[in-house]
Amino acid sequence: MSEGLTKKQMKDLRKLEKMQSKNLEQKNSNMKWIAIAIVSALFLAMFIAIIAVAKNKNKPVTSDGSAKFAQNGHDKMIGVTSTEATNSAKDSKQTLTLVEYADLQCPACRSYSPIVNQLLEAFPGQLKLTFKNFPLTNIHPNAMDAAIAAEAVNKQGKFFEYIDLLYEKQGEWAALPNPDDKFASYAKEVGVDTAKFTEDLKDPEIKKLIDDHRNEGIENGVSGTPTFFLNGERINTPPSIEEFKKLIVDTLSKNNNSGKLKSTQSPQNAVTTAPDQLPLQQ
Amino acid sequence: MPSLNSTVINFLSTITLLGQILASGLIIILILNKTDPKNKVIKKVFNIISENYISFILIISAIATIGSLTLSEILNFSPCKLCWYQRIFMYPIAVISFIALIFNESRIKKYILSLSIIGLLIAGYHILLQFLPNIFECSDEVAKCSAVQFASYGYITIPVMAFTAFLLIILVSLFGREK
Repeated sequence: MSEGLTKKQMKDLRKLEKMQSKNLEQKNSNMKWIAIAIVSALFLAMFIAIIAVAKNKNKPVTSDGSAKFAQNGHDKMIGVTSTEATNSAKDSKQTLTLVEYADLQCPACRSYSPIVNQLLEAFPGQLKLTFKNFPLTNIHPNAMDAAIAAEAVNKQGKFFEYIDLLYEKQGEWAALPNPDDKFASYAKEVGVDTAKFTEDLKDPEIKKLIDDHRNEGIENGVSGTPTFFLNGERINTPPSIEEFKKLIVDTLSKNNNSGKLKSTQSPQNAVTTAPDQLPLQQ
Repeated sequence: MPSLNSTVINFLSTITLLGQILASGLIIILILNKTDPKNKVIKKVFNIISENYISFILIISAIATIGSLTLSEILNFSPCKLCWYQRIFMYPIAVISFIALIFNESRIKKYILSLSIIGLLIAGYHILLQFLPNIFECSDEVAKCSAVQFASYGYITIPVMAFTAFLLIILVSLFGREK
């Protein structure tokens, strides 16, 4: 190829090639820095957004740190009837209310269900559970159907028997593409009228109630399940029943000493407030 | 006012749709460049992509990385196992192409292609799982793989987005010229 060229010509040719490639590199380098700048800016924006969201989550929901409960949940208290349980809080200042936002398909809620039941047994007449639906439909495809089934059973007054059974048999129905038959058989097992149960499943009010529960939870800063509120204060879910008991004993003694409840606004009012007072959507 | 969730989902779905149109365009250019090598316009487009292929790969993988992190961290969709596997093959592409650009390294095709082909296969499997959940099984206690969080335009789900991104990266790498 280069046989006919003198040394000088060869040198010039090489110089020219070098310049051309440098030119090309310069062009590419512009594109390259644009790409690097765009991507760096995007990542920076994302980190700021994530930090902002995380900060928002940790913020107390209301100024005094207590949540607002406008929706009626399902009340359970040992040693009294369910109506008495609902009314107990306003009659006695010695009563604590534990609000639980739960997803029936969530394995953690399942593990906490016996703990909560033991707590209620341990504080008869003093501790009231208010169960609220918080189905995580993004990750638990059957959670909404389970909540609907439980609410349908509730119309025949067997709510807590039914959810205990649902938790116990969670492994059977959680992965089913269509769990309806299972839900019907569990309903039969707790002794409700299956014809009425099937009819109640279609009730649009049930779906609305569950959505109201969930929206209230979102307003109160709930993002996962189970989330507990003890007398209106969100608590970090205690890792064991002993610590849970200690927390309740401490709160009870604090209430006894102070003579009056710290947060009279909630949740004592919550159970007596009409359900149509929805928290404002923002 | 539309919620943050639907705004983000619509935005990502639109980008995915544009990505799919772009992917078809890239395939056409690749074919035309082979069948009609003398066409000057095709040649020019081919060369632009070919010279800057790492920049394009960086932008595509960065969008996929940020999009997936937004879905999990800001919209709180829990990533399932398969989503994590796709992330494992997507995130390094962003890092590798970023570092390659800064240090003027152009010989990274083999890494990009191997990561993105594996990612594409996982995303493909995940799409099958979503649309035929009874045939392909995957059980995950925390997050179910076959759960469809949303489906914009009737078919764009999260793995479809990942599939599109991996496909784009593979196509752009095929253009790539290693110096």
